Amino acid sequence: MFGFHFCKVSGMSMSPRIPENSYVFIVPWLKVFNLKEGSLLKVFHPRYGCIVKSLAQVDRNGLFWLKGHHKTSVPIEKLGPVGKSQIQGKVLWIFPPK
Amino acid sequence: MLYNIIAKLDKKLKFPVVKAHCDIPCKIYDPISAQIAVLTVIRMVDLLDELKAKSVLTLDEQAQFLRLVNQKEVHGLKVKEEINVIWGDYIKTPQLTQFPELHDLVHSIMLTSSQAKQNINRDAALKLLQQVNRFAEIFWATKQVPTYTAVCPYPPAEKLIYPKL
Repeated sequence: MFGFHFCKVSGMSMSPRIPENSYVFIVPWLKVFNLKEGSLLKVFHPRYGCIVKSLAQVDRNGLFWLKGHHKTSVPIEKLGPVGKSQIQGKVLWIFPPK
Repeated sequence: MLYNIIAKLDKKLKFPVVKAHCDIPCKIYDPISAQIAVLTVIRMVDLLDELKAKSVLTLDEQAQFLRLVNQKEVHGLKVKEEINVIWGDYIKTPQLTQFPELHDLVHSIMLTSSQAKQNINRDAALKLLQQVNRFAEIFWATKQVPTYTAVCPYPPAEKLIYPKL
């Protein structure tokens, strides 16, 4: 509605960068710009639902490979690639719990 | 302070949740699925051998032949998957230090499983069972669970390693 929204993060696969129970400020339209490796993205994943992950690589087919930051994160090959249409926004700010 | 404000807003507006998924180890590992899959491969080979003895197959027998081959293929693949999961998710440095043969053993299981899938060969299937049994023995040893060998109480009546719980 406002071109941005907040989401609450559950799970610890993105810690320490995004600790569990953080709030993230998502800007959907930022995905139209060139996304760089390391960008934090909100993605609709067909198996895992709405997830927040870090962009690992854009392959030559234009598909986006995602990864977590924690050692327990679902591995990159298990997540598989996603298309740009599945990206729901870019994380602009992180508000970690105290 | 900002966090508290957003948290208060969250209580009112119910922000959507994004999951930062973890591949949490469920710790439920058991080689018995792989062992039963090998037994199925052996059983399929036995049933295929029965068909092999006939000079002409009826239509029903041809259909059965296809089903048996298909099941042999499926369970051969299942052996690989089950062993791979335990090897990839459960086996770590302490287990490898304790049993340095593990990598070679798993690789051998993969090769023998392919061999059992490719041919109607009881020897290959039995070799696979032997390797998977050894894997099961090591698996339970890493958990300090003693094992015993017993003949499974159903066809193909081959020896299996069971945990003594």
